[in-house]
Amino acid sequence: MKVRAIIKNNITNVRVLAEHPMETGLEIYEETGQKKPAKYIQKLTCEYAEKVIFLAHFGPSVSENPYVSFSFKGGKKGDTLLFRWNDNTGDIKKTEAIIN
Amino acid sequence: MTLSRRKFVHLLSIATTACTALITPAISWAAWVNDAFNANETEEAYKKLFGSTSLKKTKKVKLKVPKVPDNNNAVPISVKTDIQNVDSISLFVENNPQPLVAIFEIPDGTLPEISTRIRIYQTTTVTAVVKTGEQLFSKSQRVTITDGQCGG
Repeated sequence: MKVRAIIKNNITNVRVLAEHPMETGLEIYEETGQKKPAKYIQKLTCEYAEKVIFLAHFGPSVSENPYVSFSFKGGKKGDTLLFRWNDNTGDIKKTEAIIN
Repeated sequence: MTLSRRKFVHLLSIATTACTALITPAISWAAWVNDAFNANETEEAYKKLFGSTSLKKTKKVKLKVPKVPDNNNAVPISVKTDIQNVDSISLFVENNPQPLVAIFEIPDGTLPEISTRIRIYQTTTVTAVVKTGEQLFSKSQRVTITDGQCGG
């Protein structure tokens, strides 16, 4: 996950880009005619100071390599944000990022 | 002071009920969320997610999405509002196979504004729903998909 978190005027703006195919389960392999199995991030969370400050639930209509931007009050330069996503096949990914 | 056995059992049952009450909502939310994502019609998705189809259209919800997107597999969409005490912002694309696209929970201290990118399969109405307590506010916009490019 790529993260950019910047604090300004006591508001931290966060941009996250997660790497994930977000397969809808609707597409077909051209050679075999078989459906590509659905594989998509279902939950993306951000924690700060051990509190969940953002929680997104996704369906397969969220674009490939999901991008999300949000802001929260507070935050401090140098502090850590903890990101985590879970997908429908059981894959998990965690990333830490520093507020600038 | 020692606790009588009867009083202890009574206190235990109260504590158990209280704990169950705290745990149950989180599990119920997860079940509702899955059902809502699987709904094939917008009204059904509203019912499954919010338990209601009463949405109040309002100018207080700002929805930004291109009227004619360049790439219908990555349509930028933003929602912002000055409504107070927002619990969640949800996105619905009426003519997508499953209309509910995403739900963004907004804890205290997080601003009620989000941006993301979504897939829109055909010309449709896109709706943002802002939930605050029991109230549901919405803003919609028509989005036109020009060619047969449905991705692939």
